[in-house]
Amino acid sequence: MRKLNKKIIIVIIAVAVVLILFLASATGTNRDSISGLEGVVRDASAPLKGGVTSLVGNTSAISDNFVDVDQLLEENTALKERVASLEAEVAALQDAKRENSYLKDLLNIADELADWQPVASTVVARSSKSWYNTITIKGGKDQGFSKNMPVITAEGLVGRINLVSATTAEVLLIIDQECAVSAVVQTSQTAGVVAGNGYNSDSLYMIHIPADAKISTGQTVISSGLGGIFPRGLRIGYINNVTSVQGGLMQQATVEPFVDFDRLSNVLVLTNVTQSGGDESPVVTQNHDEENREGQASGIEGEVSAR
Amino acid sequence: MKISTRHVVVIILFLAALVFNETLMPAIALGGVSPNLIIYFVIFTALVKRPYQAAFWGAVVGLVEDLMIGRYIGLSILSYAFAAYVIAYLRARFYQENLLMPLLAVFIGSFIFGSLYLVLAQIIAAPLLFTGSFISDVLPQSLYNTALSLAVYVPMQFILHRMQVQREYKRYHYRKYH
Repeated sequence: MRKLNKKIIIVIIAVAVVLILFLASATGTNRDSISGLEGVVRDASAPLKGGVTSLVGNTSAISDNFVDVDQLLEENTALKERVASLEAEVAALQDAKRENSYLKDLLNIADELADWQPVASTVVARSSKSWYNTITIKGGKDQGFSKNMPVITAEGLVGRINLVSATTAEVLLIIDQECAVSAVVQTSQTAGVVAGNGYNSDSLYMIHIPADAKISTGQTVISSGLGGIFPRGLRIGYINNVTSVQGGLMQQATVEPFVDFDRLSNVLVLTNVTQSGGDESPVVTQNHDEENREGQASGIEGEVSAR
Repeated sequence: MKISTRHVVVIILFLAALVFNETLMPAIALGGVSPNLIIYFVIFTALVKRPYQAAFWGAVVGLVEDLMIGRYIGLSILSYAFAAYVIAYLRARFYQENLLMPLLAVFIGSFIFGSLYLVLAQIIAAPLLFTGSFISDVLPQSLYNTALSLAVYVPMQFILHRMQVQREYKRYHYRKYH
């Protein structure tokens, strides 16, 4: 009897393990929505997480004030020099802006970001698993956030919304192994795909670069707008290493992101706004699924399912 | 089952650990590796439970963490349950009353948890790279958890011990005057 019971327990455990593995495989990053229970857990813990994150931020801000005075003086001198050089640069850029505007019209390039409405949000938590690069931000369905909306900061592209609950949203960072962004090198317009490096690293790599493409270190990489998730022109990072892969048939570049992912506190979510005309308020498009399916089907942008 | 003050304190500590794991711990990350506060609950529970009980509580803790992470739900359930089972099993055979025991348990538990999670993730989700993640995540996190366990274990044991003493004191007074 005891032996039979042991056998039954082993069978039950084996069935449970198989069922759990099925559940795990069904709850990857390609889910469209989260379950009610997850929503409750996330929404209930969000205020606590927000409070602690804010407290941690304030504490580190206070400790940052106690830096060496010499260091501050040096920094002040360097900043003054930088302001002078930037003023000269601004003058040059104003000329370039006029020229750029003319060229844009000439090339008939639409200003992609004009169609997007940025909504400010704050980071409340980070993923506790070091190989998942995600953050939780304040605001969810209540703010009109939906899956795949791009998230940026002043420095550049942060990632895209992956899961949304009533009051929070999980952002899949571009440094995550399962996030991919269709990108171009700004100067040469060389196309490729930027993906997370893994290995607990904040760097990215750009793949699918033709062997004859002229790319070099220091060049800026921006989003290409292909794939339908990220608008064109979002700054991603700069190239810091180029290597030849696949027996010299292709090139691969390591890209250092502009965004400091360890110090993210405020972000902007780009919600897609369609003007409904007249005096009506802009309508936030809740669903990007059609675009996303198109993008993901083309394998350009979205999730990296296998490598 | 009667819910005692001890249960309430453990639940509060567990919820705090869940919240701190995603807020405070990333702030003290070293080389991108942050300690895992949840593992302490699993290990310290495993040290006082039988293997199957430890596995059950490990699974419960894993389920809550999985629901918070929202990615590959089930991997933490299996990994914590197995780690807790192994620790409880080893404790039953090799237990010694000294401080080295919980430290060793935290290291072994963290190592088993991280390794199993990685293997399962490798089966379920191809993108996780095994060797790289093992060297850059599992091993350093096991060491970090062990190093921090002194700071967590001592106050935790103090709180639980104090509550135990208070409970016995109350029992003593109850028996004396009733």
